[in-house]
Amino acid sequence: MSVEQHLSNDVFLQKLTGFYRDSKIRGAKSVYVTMKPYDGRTKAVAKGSEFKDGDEVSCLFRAKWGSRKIATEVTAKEVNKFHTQYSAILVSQLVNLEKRKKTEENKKAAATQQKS
Amino acid sequence: MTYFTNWDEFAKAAERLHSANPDKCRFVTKYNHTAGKLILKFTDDVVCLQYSTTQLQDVKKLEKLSSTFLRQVVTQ
Repeated sequence: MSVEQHLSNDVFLQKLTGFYRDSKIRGAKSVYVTMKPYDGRTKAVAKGSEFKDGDEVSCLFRAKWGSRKIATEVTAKEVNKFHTQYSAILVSQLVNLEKRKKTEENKKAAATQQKS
Repeated sequence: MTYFTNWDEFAKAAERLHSANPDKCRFVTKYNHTAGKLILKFTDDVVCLQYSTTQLQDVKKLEKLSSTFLRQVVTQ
């Protein structure tokens, strides 16, 4: 399935949560999230050309899980709101990672951090 | 391309790469639940920086880095 039209930020985040949730239950597929600058163009441009001055550059968010792909555009106005929500999803969904172990090395690192 | 083992080095290298070539940079996060693994990639199609982790504490750092990146992208 190819990328369809860009979703609204809210729908994108909803579906992204769904991707993370489904990846736990169904199979070993990874969830990919890509962010890159985007100037709103819908047609291919010549190789090597760069963004022009005055173009409004937003941030394109793409997510992929298995063969399912979604994308959204985050504008400057919505950055703060979007990132807060995105962080919340990361914290709630990326759960199968190891918690920090209290090893000697970590204790030392914590001690040096406190000093500085 | 080998993985960075130190977060600070990765973050610094990513920032440097982004300031050198802000238009071309992209930032990819890959999460595999079954393997319990998080892989971050930062590239401008010439240089490729990668960081792999199994630690939960790195999620916080990822948040910070993605926030910085996002803000820089929209304010350039």
